[in-house]
Amino acid sequence: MHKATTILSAVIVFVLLQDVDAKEKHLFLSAAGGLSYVTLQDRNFSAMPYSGFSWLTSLRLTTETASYLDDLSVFFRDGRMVMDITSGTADQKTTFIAGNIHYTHVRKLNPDQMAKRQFFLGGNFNSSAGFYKRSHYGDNYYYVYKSSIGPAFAFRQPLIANGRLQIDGRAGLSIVSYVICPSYGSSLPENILDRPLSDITAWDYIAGGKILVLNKFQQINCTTNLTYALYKKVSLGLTYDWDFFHLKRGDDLFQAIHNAYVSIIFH
Amino acid sequence: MRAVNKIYGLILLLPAVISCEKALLDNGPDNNPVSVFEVFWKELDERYAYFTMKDIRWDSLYQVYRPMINEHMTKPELWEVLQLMLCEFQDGHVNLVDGETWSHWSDCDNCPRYPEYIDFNAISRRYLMDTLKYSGPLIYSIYDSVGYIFYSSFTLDISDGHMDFLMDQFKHLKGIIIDIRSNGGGDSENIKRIQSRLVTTTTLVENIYYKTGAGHDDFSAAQEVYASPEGKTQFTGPVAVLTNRYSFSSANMFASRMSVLPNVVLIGDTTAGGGGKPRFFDLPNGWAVRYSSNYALRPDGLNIENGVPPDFRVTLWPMDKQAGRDTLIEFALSWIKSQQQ
Repeated sequence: MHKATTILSAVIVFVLLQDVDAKEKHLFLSAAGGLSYVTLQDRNFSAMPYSGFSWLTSLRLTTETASYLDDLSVFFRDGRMVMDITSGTADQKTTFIAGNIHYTHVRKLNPDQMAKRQFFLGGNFNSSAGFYKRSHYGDNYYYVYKSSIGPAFAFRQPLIANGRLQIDGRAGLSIVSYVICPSYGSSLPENILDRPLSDITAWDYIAGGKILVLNKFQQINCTTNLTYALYKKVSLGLTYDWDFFHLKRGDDLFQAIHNAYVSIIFH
Repeated sequence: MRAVNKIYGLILLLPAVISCEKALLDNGPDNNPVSVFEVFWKELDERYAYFTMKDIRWDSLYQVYRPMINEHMTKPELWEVLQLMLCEFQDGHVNLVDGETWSHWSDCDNCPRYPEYIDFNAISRRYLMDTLKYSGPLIYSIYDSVGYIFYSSFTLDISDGHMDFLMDQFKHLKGIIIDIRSNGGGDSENIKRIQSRLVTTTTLVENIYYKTGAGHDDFSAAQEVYASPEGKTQFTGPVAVLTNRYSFSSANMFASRMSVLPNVVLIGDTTAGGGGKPRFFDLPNGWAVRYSSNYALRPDGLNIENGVPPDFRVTLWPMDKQAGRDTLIEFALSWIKSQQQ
């Protein structure tokens, strides 16, 4: 009886808390368009670093309550890269398409609604895939897929007294990651080089990745938003974010992405 | 005003973020002849698949060719030196590329010349009967109750429909002759499309080994390649594949994989080799180098890089040529007839 009462009390408290959060829940949906600048450096792809611009589109859903902030963003990029050379006659253009999903869940450290500056701490999940086709790579795409989780930190501050203009920023780090990319001498991931060629399926590619921790894989992403409230339920956003990762192995893999985009936000 | 200052402050922080990235990323090698040579030598050293098999002393070649390189040489001079170095590989899959301009082993003094043992005029007149019938890129005819296919290049894609049509035409014939003489190769996917119509059971036809590290002998375990029956119809009768010294790359691979099958013989000359899948790497000046990135063995252990020997070594006889006959096709026809008994 005593145990049942304890459990029941805990459940009631949990439900009440959810109810409190649900009452104060704010939803923001935004659509964005802009540009990305991508740099890729991997000797399994080329001895030379490649970089270039792409178009960027994005959708974002943000949920905010008195105690936490949830942010789910989806990005899509379509562009081309070239070798970083100032001269040369070869046509080394690489076309690529890429996308990523970014989810952040952070708890408010100072939930006081009257506080000007708010800080958040929590975690982030990032999953991205990119496919690169270059004129001399043969029949196979070069690709990089990675998923990672780790801590995230965010802040928010109004810039003018009436709160119409505010700035918020977020930084995330990866602790554990799952990476799939071509091996040293083949477009196949390293773990499936000895599988019969005709038996290899898309699932084998997915299962052919590696789980890595901080000593082998480092990723950091930072975002800065300026949001201006046009009307009560509509805002305009200007965002810059930077995503950088490094895969440590015989020939290290580096990728850096800079995004700049404008978004329209509906409350 | 305070808001504006804050925005300015944030904007000023951006270069710091970007500078972190610049510190971590490599700018890449410099674009000068010495740097180009160093990248060229190192990339091949770490990724070319046949140093041991071909006994290429790459370290020694560095000592020979490096003195020819200097910072002030012109692009044509650099091209000449690098091309000379590539001749040492004696490999048709090794090329220096500058846009549309490619170097070829066939331009090198050490590239042997062989007779082609093919006369397409005779083939066209006698065996195609002056009527070129196509199923996709495959020129075909039926001669003396035997199907004849001429496939000029594996760069020309074959579809399942093309093969289904041909197999339907040939299903009641005594045999098939597949002529890949002077076929310079192309897309290896076309190998599977043909072979899948000529096997009745799943058969191991090749083992591929990929480079896994910078050492000359750093290779993966074997990746098995199987031929499996596909399509509406399988031809189970005798098949003769005609080859010569210019059946290269995917044509070489086709000959190798076909030679594993019990109902297939190779007739003609040893193929031209080219057993490794070619890949490219960039040089700092915008050129690229193509090289063999893996090697393939027939299931019996034959390394197909130096070609696949025929079951019957047959050349084009002058008297046949005069009479408008093709000795290899005539030999294939005789062999197919002998299989009927």
